[in-house]
Amino acid sequence: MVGPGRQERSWIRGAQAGSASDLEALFREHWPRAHRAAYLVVQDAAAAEDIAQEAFLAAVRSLDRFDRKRPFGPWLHRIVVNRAIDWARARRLRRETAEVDAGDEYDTGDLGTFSSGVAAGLASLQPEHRAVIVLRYLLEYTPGEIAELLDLPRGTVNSRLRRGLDRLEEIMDREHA
Amino acid sequence: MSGDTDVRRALQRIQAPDELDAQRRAWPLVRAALEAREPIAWPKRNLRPLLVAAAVVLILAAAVSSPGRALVGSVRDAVGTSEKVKARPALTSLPAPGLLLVNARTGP
Repeated sequence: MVGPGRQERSWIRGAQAGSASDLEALFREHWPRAHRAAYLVVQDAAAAEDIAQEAFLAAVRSLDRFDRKRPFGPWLHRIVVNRAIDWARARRLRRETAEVDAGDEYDTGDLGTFSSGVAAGLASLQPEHRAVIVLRYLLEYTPGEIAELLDLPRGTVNSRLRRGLDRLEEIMDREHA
Repeated sequence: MSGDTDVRRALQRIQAPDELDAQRRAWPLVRAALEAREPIAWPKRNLRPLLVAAAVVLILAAAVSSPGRALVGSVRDAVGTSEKVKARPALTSLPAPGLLLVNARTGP
């Protein structure tokens, strides 16, 4: 994870001093990817909005403790992705309790409306695997950085990436056949 | 599918429904959170390191001044870390004639 650019450090410093315009710049810069990452993990538009929003609120509340030498993105993404995984697990548990049998496939949420392609493949993965795929291919973190963000051993990240990619390829190949 | 590249490209094309509206709805809440928080003032945020630095400077200045050196000397005397003058064994005649009672571990 590279350090923040000068511009971002300046926004963070301004936001820490109470500047709404600096916070807005930081928000505009980071909202789209944070929101999209949450959406791809939870696959529910309303939940993704709540998760991204709460992650920003948590970030603002602990802004004073934030070290300006560190980049803002990974800090925010850690909150977003961990909350998204918790939410998706809770939904799965709720459905299991309600004895809804989804068979081998996982709950597809809103992404189920994507009938083909990577989105449909992603919907068939477990939330933990989706999160690793999203961190790697949407947010562009390395496996080592993902391990750090999710507090996982690097081997686990690599195996989840491999399994996730295999599953996506399998689904996409089936569609192309 | 050519693996990584296709997945990356495809994921980056997916948009959450209502993405811009969600952003518009979230911003006022985030801004309100900024306004509601009480920023820690600069001196308070940096108070502890400042106090530590000031204490170190004071201790050094006191130790270097002459009363400070005297104090250090007296502490050293009290603790007993100063060098002690040790008596050297020497062969000398007694200052007066007479007998000398000697007591040693092995007996008189």
